[in-house]
Amino acid sequence: MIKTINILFSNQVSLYCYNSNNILKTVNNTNLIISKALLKDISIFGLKNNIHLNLLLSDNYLSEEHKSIFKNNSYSVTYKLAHNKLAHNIDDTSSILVYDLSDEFDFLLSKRPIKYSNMVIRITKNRLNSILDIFSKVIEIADRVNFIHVDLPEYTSSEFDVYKKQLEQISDYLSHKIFALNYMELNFLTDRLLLFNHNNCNAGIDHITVGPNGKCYICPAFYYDNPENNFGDIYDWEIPNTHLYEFENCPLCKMCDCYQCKRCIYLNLTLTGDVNIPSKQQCVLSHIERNASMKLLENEFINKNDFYPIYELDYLDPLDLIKGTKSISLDDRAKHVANILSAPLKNYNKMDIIEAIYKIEPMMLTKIKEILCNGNVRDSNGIR
Amino acid sequence: MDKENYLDKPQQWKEGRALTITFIVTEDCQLRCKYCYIQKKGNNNKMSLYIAKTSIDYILKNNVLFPEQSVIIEFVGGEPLLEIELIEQISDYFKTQMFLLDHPWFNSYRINISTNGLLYNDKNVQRYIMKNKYHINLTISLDGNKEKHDLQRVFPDGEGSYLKIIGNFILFLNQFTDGRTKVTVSKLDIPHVADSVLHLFSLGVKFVDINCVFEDVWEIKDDLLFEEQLIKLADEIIDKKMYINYSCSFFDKTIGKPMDSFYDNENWCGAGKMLAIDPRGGFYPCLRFIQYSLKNRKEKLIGDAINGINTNKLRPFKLLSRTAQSDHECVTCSVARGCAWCQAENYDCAKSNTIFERSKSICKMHKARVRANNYYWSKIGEPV
Repeated sequence: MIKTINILFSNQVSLYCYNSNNILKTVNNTNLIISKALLKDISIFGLKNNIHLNLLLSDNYLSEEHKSIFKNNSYSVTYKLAHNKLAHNIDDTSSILVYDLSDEFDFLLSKRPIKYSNMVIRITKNRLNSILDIFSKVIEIADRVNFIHVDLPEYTSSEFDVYKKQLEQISDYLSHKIFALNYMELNFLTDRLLLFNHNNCNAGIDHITVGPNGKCYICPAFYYDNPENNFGDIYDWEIPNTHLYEFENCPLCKMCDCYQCKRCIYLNLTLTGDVNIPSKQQCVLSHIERNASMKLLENEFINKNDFYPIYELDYLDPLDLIKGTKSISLDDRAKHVANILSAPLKNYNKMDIIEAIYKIEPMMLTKIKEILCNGNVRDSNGIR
Repeated sequence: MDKENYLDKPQQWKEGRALTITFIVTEDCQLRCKYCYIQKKGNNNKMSLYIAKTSIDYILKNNVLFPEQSVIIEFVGGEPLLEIELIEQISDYFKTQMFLLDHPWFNSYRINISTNGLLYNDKNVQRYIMKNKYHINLTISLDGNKEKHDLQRVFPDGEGSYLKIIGNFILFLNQFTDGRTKVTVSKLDIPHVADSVLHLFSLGVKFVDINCVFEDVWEIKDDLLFEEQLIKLADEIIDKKMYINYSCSFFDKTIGKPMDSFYDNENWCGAGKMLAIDPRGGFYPCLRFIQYSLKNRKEKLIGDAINGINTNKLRPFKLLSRTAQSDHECVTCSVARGCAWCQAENYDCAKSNTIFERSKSICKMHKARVRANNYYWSKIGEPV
């Protein structure tokens, strides 16, 4: 169910996710700002449907006139995202600051007077080897840092090797720092430690995006990629095959324990052709991060009891379990996947787990009994 | 009745594990068959020898991407025999390169050609057949009796092609004693199904491979008429004891049963396990994903002869399973076994740009087939 609508205030709003700036070129260069009438309609829609509104601003200042639209007509609203230049002047620590790495990055950092809750740093492949350096600077001014790989589709084994080494170095750095700091989060290293299920992006499931043209999109990247590729407008919209955006209909992700992976829908569609299938690059990147988190857990400074276990894997792409060099039988695959996915349940006793299953779906126990109590007696066609 | 007393369906070469490489040597055809999936007929796109050689070089040098132990080199069109000289050149180059590279396929290859039969007696065609007689597997599309064949398989002026190919079909059966044909059933053909299969038996075709089209052409009561035809066919086959020497793919002891969601979860279609190459050198998961085969959606290109395969584009095909693309009704269907689908038709009819939505146009026809199949085996004395 859609709970949030992201509103692109203009067609100049910065990208804050796994999408190259190249796709910005497809949108008209003239500055298109969302109309006040449309903003008012969206705010009323949010009010009537209990939908939170998230206004994405970037380098556009929001006038008092714009803010007044939401005052009496909205359920709830936040103003998020401030890009390089504007970020320099933002004093609202709850805003998400988005930085594209550029020459002025250091200058901007040096000007930060206060600590921010959330920063997004969009990194390109030619700066991968400076992640540790960048991280050591931003760690003092943000509670949480999200590194986003802007040109992930172009990554090959050499980029992944550089990234892996950087993560190892950051892991060493962080393990010493983690107690010196009150608490800090780094999306590619600490998220996996704190999660026991997938932290999906959930675009198309619990949020959609409205462009400055009033059309609806799965996320901002779809607008920038092709404004014609929308699924209606705020007055009449329907996401076709919406079930494919849900985790349970993603056959590869269901076998994976890279819980920190965003499973970017836009990248899925552009790289593999299907919204529910991740690219090789997405899977390898997420597994490198997952493995770095696992190594971090081995560090003597970490109290392992504070975190769920992460098991060693001998692959970076779960597709290998099905069609690749690690291909194993159906039963062995089921055993392996069940093992890694149930790691957070390792210390719970059997009766607690069975009781939880019953509370969720009593019939599930019936099905489990059918499998375990009946055995697997089948004829040659696989029929019991 | 003992199994030895009826003719079972033929086994696939190498148990279906060989890689099929399909060369679309031309999009041109002398016929304008009404049920043909090719949308824009009569264009003159032809493959160049350069494109074919470049494709072969790429395939033979990339063993990791093509690990199969055997290969089927397939030539289709349009009408492939219009380009018999090119076919011969491609075949010779493929064989020579396999030998020079000491490729495992050199000792394990087949050549498949699907033709309308009009040029079968051409001297160049006959010479090619004799040259490759130990490796070739040819299929002539004779659609049954004259009435059924001429309903669909017509020249541009509407004239039926039965009388033009029947002589060649007899020649074909004399040269290939286990010669087969592929019969397609569309809406207009239903009243002729039984007589058509019996006609093919009378010509000497021992196994008639026949299926209903997957497109959404079926109307109310078509399934009942179809069932009626199959019952008539069953009675004829059984009453005249033809089952000893002949069989038809409609009657199959394994179909019409429920399927296990875990163990019976293979994809029906081979899309993605084969490679189709169009005249421009585009690589596709199957020829049905080429633009000329699609009504509603853009073609699914997975690479080309110059740049090779984009493995990300193949990932969705490797992850296709029965349950990943079926809704609850299909997954839990009590007669699911044997219900087929065409991946490209699924894609072409889907509500969004996905291969993970199963078209259900054939549902009622499958159920009619299952009812007739139950009747057939019950009457033969071996209820399913």
